[in-house]
Amino acid sequence: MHDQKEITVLLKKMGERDEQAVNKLFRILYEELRAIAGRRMQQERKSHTLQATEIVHEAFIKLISQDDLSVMNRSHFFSIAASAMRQILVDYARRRQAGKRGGNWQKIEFDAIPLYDVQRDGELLAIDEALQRFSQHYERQSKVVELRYFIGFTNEEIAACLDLSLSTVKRDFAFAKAWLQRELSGDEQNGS
Amino acid sequence: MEAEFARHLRQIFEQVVELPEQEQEPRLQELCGQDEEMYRQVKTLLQAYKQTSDFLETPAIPPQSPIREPATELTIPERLGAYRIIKKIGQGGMGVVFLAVRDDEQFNRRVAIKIAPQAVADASWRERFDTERRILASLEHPNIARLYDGGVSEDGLPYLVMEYVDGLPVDLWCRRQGLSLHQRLALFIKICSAVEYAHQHLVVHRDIKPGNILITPEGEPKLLDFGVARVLGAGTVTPGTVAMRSGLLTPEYASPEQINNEPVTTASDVYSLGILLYKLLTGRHPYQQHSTPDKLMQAIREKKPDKPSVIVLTSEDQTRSAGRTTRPAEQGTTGFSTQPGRLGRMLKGDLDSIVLKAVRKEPRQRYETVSALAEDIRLFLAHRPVKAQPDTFFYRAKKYIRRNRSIVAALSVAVLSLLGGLIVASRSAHIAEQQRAKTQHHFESLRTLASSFLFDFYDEIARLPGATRARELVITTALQYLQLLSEEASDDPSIMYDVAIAYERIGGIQSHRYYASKGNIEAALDSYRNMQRILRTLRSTHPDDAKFIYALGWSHQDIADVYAQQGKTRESYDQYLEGMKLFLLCDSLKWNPQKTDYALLVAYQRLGDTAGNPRFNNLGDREKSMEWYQKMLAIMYKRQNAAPENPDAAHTISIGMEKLADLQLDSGDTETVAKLYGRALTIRDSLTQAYPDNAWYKRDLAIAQAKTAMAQARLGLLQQAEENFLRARAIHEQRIQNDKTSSSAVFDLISVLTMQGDTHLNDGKPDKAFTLYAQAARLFTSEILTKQTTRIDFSPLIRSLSKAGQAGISSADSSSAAETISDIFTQLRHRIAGREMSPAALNEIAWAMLTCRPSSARHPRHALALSLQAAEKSNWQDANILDTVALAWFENDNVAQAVRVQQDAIALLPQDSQMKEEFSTRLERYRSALRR
Repeated sequence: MHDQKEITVLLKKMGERDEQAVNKLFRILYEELRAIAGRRMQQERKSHTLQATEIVHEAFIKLISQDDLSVMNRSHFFSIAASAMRQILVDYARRRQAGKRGGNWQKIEFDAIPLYDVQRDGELLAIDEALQRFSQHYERQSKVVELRYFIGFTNEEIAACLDLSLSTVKRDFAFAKAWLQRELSGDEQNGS
Repeated sequence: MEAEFARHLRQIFEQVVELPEQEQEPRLQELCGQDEEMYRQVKTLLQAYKQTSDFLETPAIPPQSPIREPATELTIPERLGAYRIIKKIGQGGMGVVFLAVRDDEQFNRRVAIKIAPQAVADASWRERFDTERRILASLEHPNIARLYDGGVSEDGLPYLVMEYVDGLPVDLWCRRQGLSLHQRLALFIKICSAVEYAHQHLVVHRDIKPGNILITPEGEPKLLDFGVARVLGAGTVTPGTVAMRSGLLTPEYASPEQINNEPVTTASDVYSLGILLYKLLTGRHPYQQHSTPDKLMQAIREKKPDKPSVIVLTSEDQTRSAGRTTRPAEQGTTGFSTQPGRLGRMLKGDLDSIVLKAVRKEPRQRYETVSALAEDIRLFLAHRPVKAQPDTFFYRAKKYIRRNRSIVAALSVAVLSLLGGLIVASRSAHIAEQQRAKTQHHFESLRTLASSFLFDFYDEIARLPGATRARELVITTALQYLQLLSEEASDDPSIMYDVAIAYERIGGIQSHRYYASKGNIEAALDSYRNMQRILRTLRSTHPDDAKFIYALGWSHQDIADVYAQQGKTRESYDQYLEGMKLFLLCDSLKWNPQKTDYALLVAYQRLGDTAGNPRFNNLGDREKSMEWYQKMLAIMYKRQNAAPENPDAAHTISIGMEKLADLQLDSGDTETVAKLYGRALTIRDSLTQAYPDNAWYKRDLAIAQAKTAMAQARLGLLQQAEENFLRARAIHEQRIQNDKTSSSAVFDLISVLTMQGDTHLNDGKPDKAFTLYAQAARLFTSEILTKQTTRIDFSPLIRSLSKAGQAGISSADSSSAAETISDIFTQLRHRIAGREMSPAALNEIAWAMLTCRPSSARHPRHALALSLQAAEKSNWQDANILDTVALAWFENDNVAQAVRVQQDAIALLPQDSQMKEEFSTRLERYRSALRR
């Protein structure tokens, strides 16, 4: 369990563009989100499937001190959480694919978790890769995709998190969709 | 270069993608110009975009619960229970609303059915849903839409059946109807009454917003969805922000505590009503400019809204400049026909304060209840001072003038014409009778106005601290008029008499305890002397007129009062004596016995107080005191015989008895004391029975009970004493219950507890005594310190704490006593933190923390902090405070500091101070510790 104070300090450092703080936060969140996901699935396996948004919010409530709800810290938090969740899902998909190819299936810690349809593993990995390229020139737009696709935020939530207007989020997402679609359908080269 | 290209690519794409398809190509060519690469890139992106329909739309982990997509895909059911669905009429975070009819009855009752967005299967939830539904169904108020029924649909979706209201949202209605400010406020008061009604039934709305307040075509407001947020939201765990994201709550009208997911109380509804009022008065939401949800939520948490009066001016400006092209038909955003400037002036002050008080961030700072909010609006409509306004002189003066507009206007005219008339009159050799009559008439006006001005007005401002300058102004102006009057009309006895009385009134204001200062007291003395001078002249020219003698007597009394205030006891006694003699003269002249008796009664009382009553500055002659008090009692009886049915006469007698008893309290004649207190008690007992609603009699009864108990205890009548103490306590406790805002009842109760403790301590029962003292101290910290009073007398607390310590040491369990006292100190420390405290009070508390017993209850560290605060506040110029600081340093093992500060303290003492020895002893103690 990480100290709420520590998280607050890290978030603050992140605001000061402290690379180390970002990495540390990322690691903390990665672990925390995985733990929450694992626990939730065990509790609620019968009635529910998992929602990324809920996991992130649970982590948020757990890790963020309630008297430190500054907007800056909140958006930093969700932004890192989205990256962490993205990494979790990518790792998960990679392992599953490795498993299909005869890798060590047993070692995967949250195998039992039906995070999402196996059929989508490939798509998810492809999107992740395309997104990496996209983010080279379109950092904000790729963040929008990350929040939307990997943790299931609505446009309104994204607007709140990144402190953008709703219309900007919609425009960014439209552009990202077009760009990634073109990238994935492979009929055009990188546009820059 | 690449980055530049990337940016352009995005910009062009965004500009083109939103255009209709046939316009895209020409625009694209236009934007790309010669840049073929750009053209190709955008073109392929546009093509890709067309194929994206559901690409990326589903998150990697698809949401299963419809919570964030509220029932969009809900198929419209044909029926729900006994209701036939007609059409969908609305959709929001709380679900979908249908218009339906109950068609199995004779009449077709139209209802609104709200279906929750989320299925809930849990049985315990179902139970709660039914309970809440029953509570809501019990709300019957003309301005609340009834809840008829509810249940769970076949799909497991809970639904509620409500009265269907065909109306317009309140903000829209106000705008369309162009309601005036008064009409809006009246409407708002109605809305408040509905909310208050629900609160009395323990139902909080939680989601007050214009969309939930519909106005029927008849103009009646109907509140919808009372408590629905709770019933339909009860199945989901929705921390504030999540609820907000999910659209369960309306962020614009949500209170900070709702956003922060803190407990929601009636105060949250007060807040939402405040925002609603803001909107109705200004046409704008206070945080309208915060477009993104997070900015809005942050603003709700942190930003103080602008005053409505300010917003009205700025927003109207914007609307008018923008309005020409966009909304020429509308009358601004508010729909007021009033000009913005005028509207701003109407809102400025009271309404600003009312709205801002309702929307304070901290629930406790808001109106305590919705009815208090409504009451303030009623006060505003009646031009009376509203509670939300900080008390200032100009505020009250304004209200006074507004209420008495005609009087004040008349006053200035009358004063001017009166002065003019007088001057003309005195200069003219031939005074026309008509002129004289006119002067007389003017004078009457002046007198009426002056008394109204000086008295009513004074009452309004009397209790305000810091209004001195304004009062000075009133007084100097009045004095100037009087000066002129007494010069110009020196030959007219009736005018001169009134001038004298006016001087007396001014002296009364100048010497009034609320703002008596040294300079003012001297000025008061001058006024009384002016009064006396005029009356002496009048008496010499009209020796038989008892009216002048009587007034002259009062001038002596007044001057005596000032002397007493100044501590000049001897001079004051002599003046009382003079006054008394003049009143006796009136008595012998048989002039107005009622007035004379009253004057004599007051004179005897003051003479008795000054002669030897230890509770006042006195000349040490207790015997003489007794004599005067006896005379006073004789008059009291006379007055009562003259008017036996007058309860106040009887009450006055009981006060006389009490005074006599107080006087002899330490004389050793406890029997007499007990008898006198007992008689006072009997009188008050029967008064209280005859006038059970008179709070004043009741309080005095309790005081007599406690004093009697004290005397009885001294006589060894412990059982009776205990009973009387308990009776007195019960009365004060009841008073506290009846008026939670008043501290006087709490102080009274503390005093009784301490007295009761004293008797137990004397009786050798330190344990019992300790409990009572500790209770008194706790009461002080918990009750008195929660009040918003700025000036608090801490001596009852300090006294009960020191007594508690004294009892605690002798009690069986002295260590737990120490713990209790230490605990009270801790509580006290928390209560005074962040509170504006006088250096004297801080000093007193610090001293108690340093010196209290048992010594294990002391808090030297906190005492140091408090004493340093006190020293800082008094600029290190107060010897007593420095004495405390020194001891605090000493107790915190910084002996060198203690020596230094104690030296400063001694240096600050006046030459002949009696404290010098005590201070020096402590200095010696510190020094010898330093040497060791």
